[in-house]
Amino acid sequence: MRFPSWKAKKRKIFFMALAAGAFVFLGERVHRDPDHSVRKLPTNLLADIAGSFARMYASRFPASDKFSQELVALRSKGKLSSDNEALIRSTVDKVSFHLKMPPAVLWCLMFQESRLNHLEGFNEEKGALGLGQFSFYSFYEVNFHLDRFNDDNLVMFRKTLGMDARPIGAFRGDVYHPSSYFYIPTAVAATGAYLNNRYLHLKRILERKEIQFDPALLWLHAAAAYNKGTRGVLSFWNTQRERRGTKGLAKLLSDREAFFKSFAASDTFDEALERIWPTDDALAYSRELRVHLKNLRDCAVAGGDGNFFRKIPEQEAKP
Amino acid sequence: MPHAHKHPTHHAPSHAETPKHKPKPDLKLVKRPHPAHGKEAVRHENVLALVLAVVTLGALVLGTAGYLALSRRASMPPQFSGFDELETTFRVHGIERYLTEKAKLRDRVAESLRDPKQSQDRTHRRVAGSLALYLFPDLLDRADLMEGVAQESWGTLMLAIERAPRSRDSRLWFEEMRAAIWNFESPKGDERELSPIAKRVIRIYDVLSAP
Repeated sequence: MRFPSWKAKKRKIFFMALAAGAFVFLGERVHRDPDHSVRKLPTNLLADIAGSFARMYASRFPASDKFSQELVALRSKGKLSSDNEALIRSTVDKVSFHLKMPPAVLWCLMFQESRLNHLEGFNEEKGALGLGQFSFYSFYEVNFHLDRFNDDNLVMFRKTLGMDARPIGAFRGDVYHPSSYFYIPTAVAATGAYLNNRYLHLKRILERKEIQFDPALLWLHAAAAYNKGTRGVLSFWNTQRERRGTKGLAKLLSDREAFFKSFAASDTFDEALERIWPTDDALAYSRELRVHLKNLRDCAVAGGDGNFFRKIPEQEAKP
Repeated sequence: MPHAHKHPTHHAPSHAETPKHKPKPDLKLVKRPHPAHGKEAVRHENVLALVLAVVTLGALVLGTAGYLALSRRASMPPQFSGFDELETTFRVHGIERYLTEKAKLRDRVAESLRDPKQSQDRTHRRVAGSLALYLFPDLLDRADLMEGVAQESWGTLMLAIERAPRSRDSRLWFEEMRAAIWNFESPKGDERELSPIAKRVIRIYDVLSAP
């Protein structure tokens, strides 16, 4: 039996020490800011997400004081346990990483939809359910068209839940079952997948028509489609294109200030939705959609309801 | 008549008997026993009143619903009235006649979309645009962002159903088509948020694909 030479031993010790040092250094970096999920991502994907997202979306959300206070109230009233909140946060980080989606948009969307109550609608026979307020048709899409645009949703499901948990449904018998939408990781993953499909659909339409857009800003349009349907968003875009031309539409899709101005005023949204619903309904939905977008902006966008947005006068936005 | 003997005798006062002061009218004279005075009769009267109330309420509800239905129908511009009949056309005359009527409707929608005067009217624009979106996607303007969406999301499924109506496959295509339309318009599954035209289109293809 040959014993390793002293030189070989020294080399081995050196490499082990180097590996341990690197491990400690990386661990410390990750631990320093656990909420800042973008920093946890590998550098090759960081370019996709951190580039435009970090400039636009808040790394700590909700971004606005109003929603932060509401979150504190939910905690203090016992409507949101710290365990559930932590589980939602960590799953949002994983899902948004795999879908290259701004985590702030996914979290804020669920906050808007259900105030993070994963059992919302549990005792109801009808109506939307859970964190992302899913309906029969949302389940249908996740179960049958998860990979409608690409495989990202499927990969995300496997990596986040450890399996393809489909068919997913409102299974009340065991809320910890990976196929139950009342199970938090499943709800976040399914909500992320459904939002991702809205995003990819809108993106494909714009690419086909060769209309420029900011991928980061498009997530807010996708969140609008999640809430009021893709038809509402496309009708809004059509109206904008007819009023201001393709350049005007491209501006709406790439200049966030222009987009925020657009939903401060009601006329474009009103006209767009009047092309879908009779006037009374259209005006009510227009108001709901604009409030939804404003809340999302305040919750997810860096600066929230801070000084940047206060510069936009509500009346000035009318054309 | 069990109570006939109880009737008081009517005495008309004669002039000779007329006193100085006008006598007070004898109320007993007009007081007659009535069948309703019995407990059972009272119960009958109550039941009758209840029935009348229910009938009146029902008539009111039906009247209101009818009025609302008529006013909804009235919101459909007259040249598109054939759309409301498509479902019945298929039920009564079958797929060939359905396709003929649909083709006629297509011409009217195309004409309406081309006419700038008609496009000024909001109801007109909404109905013509929605009919084109759901039934005739090829009529949508090339610049319309919904053009490709309609064709690939439900256009091909509808054509497939029309080629093989009432088949088992058509039912599967219908389920796909219905989910695509709901997710396009009302992801929350709220029926109020589904537009009237989308609702009617789903109804038509539900009938076409029903085995």
